Amino acid sequence: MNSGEQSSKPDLYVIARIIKALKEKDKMNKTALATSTGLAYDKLVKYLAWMTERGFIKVDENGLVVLTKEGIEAYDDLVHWIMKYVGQLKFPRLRLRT
Amino acid sequence: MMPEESVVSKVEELMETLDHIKKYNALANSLKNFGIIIASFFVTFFVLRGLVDFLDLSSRLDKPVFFSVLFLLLLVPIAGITTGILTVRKKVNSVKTGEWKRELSNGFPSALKILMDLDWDKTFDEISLGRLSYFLYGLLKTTVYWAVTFFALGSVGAAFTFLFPHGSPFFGGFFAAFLALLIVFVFLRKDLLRRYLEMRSLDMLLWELWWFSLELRRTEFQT
Repeated sequence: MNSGEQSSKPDLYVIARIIKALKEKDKMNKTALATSTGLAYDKLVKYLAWMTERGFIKVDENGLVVLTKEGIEAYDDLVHWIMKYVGQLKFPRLRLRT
Repeated sequence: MMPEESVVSKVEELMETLDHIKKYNALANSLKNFGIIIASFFVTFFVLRGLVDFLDLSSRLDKPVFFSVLFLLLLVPIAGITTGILTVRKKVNSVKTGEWKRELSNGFPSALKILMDLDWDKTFDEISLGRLSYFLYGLLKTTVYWAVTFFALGSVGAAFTFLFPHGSPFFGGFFAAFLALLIVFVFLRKDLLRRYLEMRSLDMLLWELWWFSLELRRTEFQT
């Protein structure tokens, strides 16, 4: 998600980091979330806006970011989607001989 | 194991495999040096053999001493093989691996990032190059072993002819070449089989990753 492009494709990695941090801490203020995820504050705010639009998170009356049921499901879907493909990989045992 | 942990574990396996591929590429990069080392030692060997003939040492020296010189000369290509293999081994062992471990310790999001950031086309090129280089290295090494065995048999043949002047000339060129091939095959058969299996493993890996990358690129996750 580039600056000023709310509709562009978001970085799944960033979304996963935000959801993971919220899953671990339940609810967080934006500054703590930015620190926890290693994101610049303004970038985090744009991502939070995108995630709020889709119902993944909500901001409560105290200004704390809370993960919704939809957010947890989206994260689990992402994990299962990746596992569906990566789980089928079989790696041969390689032993280079010199 | 939780699905998140399973993904991280699979990506760890993938990255370890790709670290191995780096080693094959290090071998590919050192193949030229290996060839130069082997060639220079063999040139030295041929020059020394030529010098032995030029100085007519076979008639100047006692026969046991002369044959000892011939056998000692074989140490030159043997030293070449040893130096070459050690050079390749040093290069392969110097490959940095596990640089992704710190990143992956952050769990699923990092595993996802690693997967998304992988340059698949480059990875496929590296596997193909590594496979080809591994084959060429095995071929070159076997040829060098064969050459050393051939010259050793030549020296044995010369000694045999001296000891049994009326014996059958079994150590003629073609016979020595064939016998050397047979000896090398017997000694290296397990090594050659393992190399063949290793190359098949690399083929399988190429197909697995090619399929995986295709699926990953084709499907778009809908949030």
